[in-house]
Amino acid sequence: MGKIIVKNLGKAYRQYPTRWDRLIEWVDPRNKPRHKQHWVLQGINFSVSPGEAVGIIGINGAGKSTLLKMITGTTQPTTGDVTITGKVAALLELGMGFHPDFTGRQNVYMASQLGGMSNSEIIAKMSEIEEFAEIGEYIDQPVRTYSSGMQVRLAFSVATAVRPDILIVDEALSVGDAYFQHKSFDRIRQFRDQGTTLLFVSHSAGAIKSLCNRAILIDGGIVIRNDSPDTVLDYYNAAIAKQQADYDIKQTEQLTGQTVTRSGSGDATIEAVELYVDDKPVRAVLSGAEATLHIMGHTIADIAELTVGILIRDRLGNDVFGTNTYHHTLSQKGVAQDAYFSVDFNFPALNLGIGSYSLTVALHSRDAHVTDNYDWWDRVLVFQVLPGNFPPSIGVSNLPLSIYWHETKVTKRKNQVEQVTKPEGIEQVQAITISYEEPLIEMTVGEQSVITVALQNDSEQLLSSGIAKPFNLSYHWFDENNKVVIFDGLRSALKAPCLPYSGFQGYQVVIKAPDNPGFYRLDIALVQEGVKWYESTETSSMKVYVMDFK
Amino acid sequence: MLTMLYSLWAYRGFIFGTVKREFQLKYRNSLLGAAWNIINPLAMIVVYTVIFSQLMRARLAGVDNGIYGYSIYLCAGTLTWGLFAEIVGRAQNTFIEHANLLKKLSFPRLCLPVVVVLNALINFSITMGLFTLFLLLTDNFPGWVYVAVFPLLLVLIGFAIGLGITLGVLNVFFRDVGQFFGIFLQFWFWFTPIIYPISTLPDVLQKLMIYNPMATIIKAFQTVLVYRLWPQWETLIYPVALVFLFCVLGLCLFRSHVGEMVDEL
Repeated sequence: MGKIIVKNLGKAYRQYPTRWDRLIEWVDPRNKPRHKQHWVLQGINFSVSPGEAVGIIGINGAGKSTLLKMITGTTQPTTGDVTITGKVAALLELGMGFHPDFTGRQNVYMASQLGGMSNSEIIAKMSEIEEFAEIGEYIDQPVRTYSSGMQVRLAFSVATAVRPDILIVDEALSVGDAYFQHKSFDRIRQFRDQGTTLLFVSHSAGAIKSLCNRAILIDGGIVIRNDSPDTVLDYYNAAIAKQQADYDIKQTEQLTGQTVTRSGSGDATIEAVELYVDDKPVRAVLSGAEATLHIMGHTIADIAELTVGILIRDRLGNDVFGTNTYHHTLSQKGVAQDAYFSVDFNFPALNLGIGSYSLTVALHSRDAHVTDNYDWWDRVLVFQVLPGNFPPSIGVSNLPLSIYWHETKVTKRKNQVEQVTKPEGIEQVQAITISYEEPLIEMTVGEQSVITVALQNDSEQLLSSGIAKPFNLSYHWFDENNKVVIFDGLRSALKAPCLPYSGFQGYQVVIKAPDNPGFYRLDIALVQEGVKWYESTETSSMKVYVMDFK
Repeated sequence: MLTMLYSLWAYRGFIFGTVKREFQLKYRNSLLGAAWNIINPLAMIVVYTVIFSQLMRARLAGVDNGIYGYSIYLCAGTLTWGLFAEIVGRAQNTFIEHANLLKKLSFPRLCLPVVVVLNALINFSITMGLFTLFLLLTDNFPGWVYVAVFPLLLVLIGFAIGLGITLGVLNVFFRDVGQFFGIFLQFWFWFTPIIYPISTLPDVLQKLMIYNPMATIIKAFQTVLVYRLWPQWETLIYPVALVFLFCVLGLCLFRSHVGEMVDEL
């Protein structure tokens, strides 16, 4: 179950010179085609084995969405065929074909019925879908009143209410907020771990790297690369995204060429500014690559001291980096009139974060343009910084960085815990220490919180005793009578085959608060496949006050 | 053909669900809600009966059903024409209306015309039920002859949906079809003896009427409901032949262009 075989798949849209030609072709008995075929995909071959997670990448218009539509069966291929075994759930673009006038609930019914569920199954799943989508009372409002994020949330919840054999996701998730993205990726990951085959289109290299074990690069309607995500993404970033960004920006430059702002006395003028990588003019640079800014100018009058300044701004207009020849004590003194000059600003490593930047160039005297401003050219060019061969980072800078781990010990906190009675049947292993940096003190009823827990294994035995089953972190809520109110162990974060001994590792556990207010004790424990319990010594308990929801 | 029917059966949950949702949607934001489903047809019947029988005192030549003769004649024609027009009108737009769904989900596309027919039938049964009640109350119920209505309805629906699917597929590729047929339907209505008796037409037009399948079908309804006679079954051969023609044509068109349809929407 969960197998996809794509054989010689191709899609061509028919293009008729005029609408009448279609009519003539339909009624003409000679069966002579009057249309041109516009191929968007050609000769696509690949197969996905059950349980594989495959990412599909390519620039806009590469044919990714068409491919997914043919795999799900909404669009018929022109050539070739797709063989699928197993139940498919697909999230194509936004909203999943919701009817705008039906309520969310009605649309859930409709989509589930189309997915082949019976009414009783839908009723059984309804509350779970509602809960996951978190759209509250909107569920009984028409879908047209929803925000796009709400639509995606609902669509995702419906599509994944039952674990499918194959899950196909087409960039839909990029609409949701960060919180929901996390939640949905967790679910996707969970399905993948349970054996669901995943086919995933995304522009986010990070998502593909972390979810997929294979990536397929499509460009110009054909498969360019079909390999490990790292290999394919590197190739994509270096070869295709760069070209495209280059082209796109040059296009916009031509379109918006007039809107650049220039000011200044005109005693000296900027003639040309160009960004070079490997001696080629470019508008897209890999983060961290060497780049040179070449500025050419012309003096109209005699200038006592000529300074050339540059300023890089991010897409929001914030200054990112600026400097000038004066600060580098390289300003030209005594430039005669009608002289042509050129200057190179060489960046050995352009360590900018991924994104779009604009460049401003100025000619003035001394250290700032307030004194004598000859020519100030805003947004003389816009360039794109693409992910280079670096670990992902955010922000406008990509600082060169090395990370070293040292053996660390967490300072244990001892204040809030009173006498802790262990539940029966728990084996204590002194060698494992569970500790947390920030204790939970207050929560609200039903709230979910993430706590970072540190695990330390001081015992060599645990490793060497050949424990094969994975560990999980679990948690218990005890009420004031020391009764277990909530126990959740299997869905927690940690899934390691064993703990690195004498090492120290941090894990995040999602904790859900009890449904009733009051004082509770929260215990975090280590469990091995639900069979055997290990619990640390004093540090794994904390006293939490759960507040009423207000 | 069998596989088509089987796939429709497999999606019956969706079909019935959609019929139910569309029915609920109709008066969703109104205060009286479902009551409008009764009030609307009731108002129509009242207009036809009160205005024409009481105020205008119109009489239909050759009918001695008392004061309601012309009203019954009107209702027999307009109600059944209404069913026909609703099915054709909705079916020719159903693929365009559900473009969103067609583009994103994979399901037997023939579900959509089926939904149209079922929905129209629900509306029609309410109206027809009220009309039948009216016939019973005014002592104008035709008796056993009434069962002839059901085979007639079958012919009417078959014709409507055959034509509807044909137009529906064409309309996706040539939007003119929908515009044109809206106008055509107006002319067709007035060229069919629905609110006037056929005897008022000049002889030439009366002869031409045999080529109008709707005229034959509506006449059969009127024969049953107004004149309380069994319809002349042999006159229905031509409409039944058209039913098969359009159903085959519609399905052929549908099958050959269903794939291309999604690309065009």
